[in-house]
Amino acid sequence: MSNGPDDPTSTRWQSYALVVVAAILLSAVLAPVAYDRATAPDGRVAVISVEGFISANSVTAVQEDLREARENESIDAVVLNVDSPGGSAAASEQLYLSVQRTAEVMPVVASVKSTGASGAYYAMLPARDIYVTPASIVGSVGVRGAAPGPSLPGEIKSGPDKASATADQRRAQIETLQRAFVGSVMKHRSDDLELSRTEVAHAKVYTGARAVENGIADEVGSTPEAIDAAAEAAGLEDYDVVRKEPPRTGGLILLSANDGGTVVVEQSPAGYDAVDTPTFLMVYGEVRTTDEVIGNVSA
Amino acid sequence: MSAPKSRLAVVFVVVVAAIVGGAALTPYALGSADDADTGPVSVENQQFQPGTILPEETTEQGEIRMDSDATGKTVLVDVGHENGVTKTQLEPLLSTLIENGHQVRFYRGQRRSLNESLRSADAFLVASPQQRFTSDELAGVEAFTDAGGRVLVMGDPPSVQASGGLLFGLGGLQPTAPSTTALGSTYGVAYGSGYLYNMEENDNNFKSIYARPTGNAGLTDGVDRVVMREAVPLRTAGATRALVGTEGTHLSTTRDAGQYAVLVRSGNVTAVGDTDFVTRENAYTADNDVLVGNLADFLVDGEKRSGAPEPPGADQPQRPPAGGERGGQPTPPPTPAPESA
Repeated sequence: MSNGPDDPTSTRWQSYALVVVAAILLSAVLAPVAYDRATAPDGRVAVISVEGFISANSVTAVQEDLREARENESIDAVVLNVDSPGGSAAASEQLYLSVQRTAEVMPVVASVKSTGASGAYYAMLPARDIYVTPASIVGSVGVRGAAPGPSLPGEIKSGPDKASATADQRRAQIETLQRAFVGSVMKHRSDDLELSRTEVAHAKVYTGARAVENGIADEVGSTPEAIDAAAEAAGLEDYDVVRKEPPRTGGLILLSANDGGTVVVEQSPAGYDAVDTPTFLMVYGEVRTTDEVIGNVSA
Repeated sequence: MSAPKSRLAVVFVVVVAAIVGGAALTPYALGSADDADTGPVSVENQQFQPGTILPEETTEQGEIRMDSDATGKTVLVDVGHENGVTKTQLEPLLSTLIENGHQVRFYRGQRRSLNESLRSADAFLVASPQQRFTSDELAGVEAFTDAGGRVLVMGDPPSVQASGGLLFGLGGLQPTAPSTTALGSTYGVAYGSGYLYNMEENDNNFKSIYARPTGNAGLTDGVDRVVMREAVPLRTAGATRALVGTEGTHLSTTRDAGQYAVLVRSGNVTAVGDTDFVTRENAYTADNDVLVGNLADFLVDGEKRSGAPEPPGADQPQRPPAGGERGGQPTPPPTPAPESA
């Protein structure tokens, strides 16, 4: 009849069956991990926010995000999520250079939520595409500078230009920064621009549709579309999105509003607390500090 | 006996390896490559190089010289109409006059009326007045120029705007008042609105325009080009356009390019559309020094009859008593600005 329980053949098969079952069970645990790992998205798109007044503080955090994106192999593309009227000229240039470095190693696409003007527009220039919505405000390729107040009574200086510069010198400085800014716009966008260098230098802002028409921006679309475009440019069919939170600047900035382009700051984020230095701004809108009006938008 | 342990172990490993490895390798077999070789990033920004962005600066040298051989003329400088220009800003022009033996007096609008002050003056300088001139004062200025007195009016955009876009630069000669329009049209000069700018050719920054002579006025002798820091266009019917903005000069309000005059002369009256060019900081830029010297010459070259403007009512058939300085129609003291808005 049938083999008994102590039949060696039967026992062997039982052993094999046991091992196979154990192996399958173990594999059942490991296989999904392995499969997931293998079928993980092709890559990741980092969405890095550039929001509010671009100051030395805020730009450091964004630069850190960009550096991480460059060095993290799992990140294949970057979308700049921009909502800023610009800020300090020096910080805007820093940001521009960081974005430029990033754009050298991976696709960078910019998406303007509400405002991407002046220094913020500067930062977006290296992006392969700039996405705007019809209500977006972009442009304002210009620089402005306020003179510091009068020096302290009784102050002794070692030289005539020690504490400040003459109007001539400041005009030349502003002109220098302006040429660098306009030169950067022409470098990155001259293929698309319908505007001449002089028209760009007028520092006008444009709404989204107009900007796309004249080449200041590229596409009308929202941030998800910008993310899609970045992923596609990086050759990603499916991808994860990693969001970098906008930098917090320790409460320096009370309000960076898009209501009429007014930026209210508690202390001049472009300068230093104890010193009233000449500040060069790449900002669109009327800038007010608590004690003085730095400047107005040129007509 | 059961299967050998070693064989069992092999089976175990093979099964696990087959399943796990298969799971891991399948997607790669299906094809999805990852490229992540990143070298050092280097970017080159030619647009930041000093040779590309550093602006050229206009030469600042020369001296302010007067050619006129007139001596001992009196120039009255208006500071009594809330003028937007200080004595310090006018200093290069005033110093030049004094250095060449002329007298500079200021009309403050306190003790004497403007017309009284004008009577003993040979020339009148008005820069950026913010307060309106009264009709008596306007009549006095007209009589002053009719008598050969020289008038130099300097205006700039803010003062013009503050006074409501005037004519003739006299700080708001009430454009709404038809009676003063008559005076402006007498000289044929009106200040436009807005400021001039030139994006193509400027002395660093768009508002610092260059202006060149039109070639037909003595005011611009020796001038190749001058720099105006914030100029307002002068509109004129019959006056001579002595300096016009260089090609590419635009008007801020219309954004239209054009030949905008910034210095015009109509007989004894010269009007300039800027006040900054005369300041010490700008007086040596380009040929501004030559222009300042020429304007100083213009002020002292007139041959004014003494006594003009005559006291109000003096031109009536019945002349007022000689002692009555102010005649039957006293000139209101301008300080309280009775007609200012």
